[in-house]
Amino acid sequence: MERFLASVEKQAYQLAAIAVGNRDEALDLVQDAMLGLVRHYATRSEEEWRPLFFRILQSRIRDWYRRERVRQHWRGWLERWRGDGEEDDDPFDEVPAPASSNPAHRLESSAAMAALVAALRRLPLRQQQTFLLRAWQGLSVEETAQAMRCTAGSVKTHYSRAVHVLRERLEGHWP
Amino acid sequence: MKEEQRDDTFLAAVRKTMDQGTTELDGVIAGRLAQARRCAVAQGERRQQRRWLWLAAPLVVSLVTALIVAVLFWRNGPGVSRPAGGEAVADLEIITAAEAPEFYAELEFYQWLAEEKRHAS
Repeated sequence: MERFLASVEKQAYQLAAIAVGNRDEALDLVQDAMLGLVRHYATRSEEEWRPLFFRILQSRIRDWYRRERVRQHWRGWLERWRGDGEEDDDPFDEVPAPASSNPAHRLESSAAMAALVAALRRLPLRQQQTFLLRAWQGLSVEETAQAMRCTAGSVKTHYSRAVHVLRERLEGHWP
Repeated sequence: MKEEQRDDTFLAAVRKTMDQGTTELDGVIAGRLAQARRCAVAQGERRQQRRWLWLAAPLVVSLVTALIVAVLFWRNGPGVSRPAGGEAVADLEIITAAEAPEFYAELEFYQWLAEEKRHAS
């Protein structure tokens, strides 16, 4: 199990960092996914671990987005309540924004990487994660559908749209 | 076909860039990931030990129960002399009777006395 986790932890971190745009949150999500796999599926065969692990990770990312939506709702409510023109320190300012322009720090070490991450982050979450699971992690359509909890048909649609949009956006940087 | 080739080239470039980004992750992140992994594995091992304990507990209880039953059976087994069925019933009648137990102790004397009275009359 430890060998398997070591083989996927960095990729999982990249997936999570691109999805949530915050390294600490991404690390927490990966740790949760690791614990989930060990807790519930350690007795399964090793071939099953990879799709199961990415399924758990996707589930944690979706949960994070749901929580973030609630947080943003309260943040907006608080701002309205404080009224216009107040420039005092807001405690929520210290909370990292989900759509931060500096999401994965070192991940953007090269211009190509920076352009790719920026383009990926502009995609809808489902397209972004479907693309990464299929194109980068090499999961099959069925495995991706299982991880994303959607149909094989919608995986194909998300993937095809993502490839099309990314190619358009990255034309200047890519072959 | 040309479009497919363009897609393949593009996807190969994506994979290469992502792989490069992964290998270049900074040491702090790599360290924290390794720590998270060790923590998850340790927790899994603890769970495994607890699971074995839960599986073994009923087995141990069953074995101990079987042992106790075997010992009891051995001590009261066929080799040990016990009152025969008829005697046991007689004993039960004595225990549950209204008369005092002394009456039964002197029963032979009362029977002899009754015989003597009958002969005398």
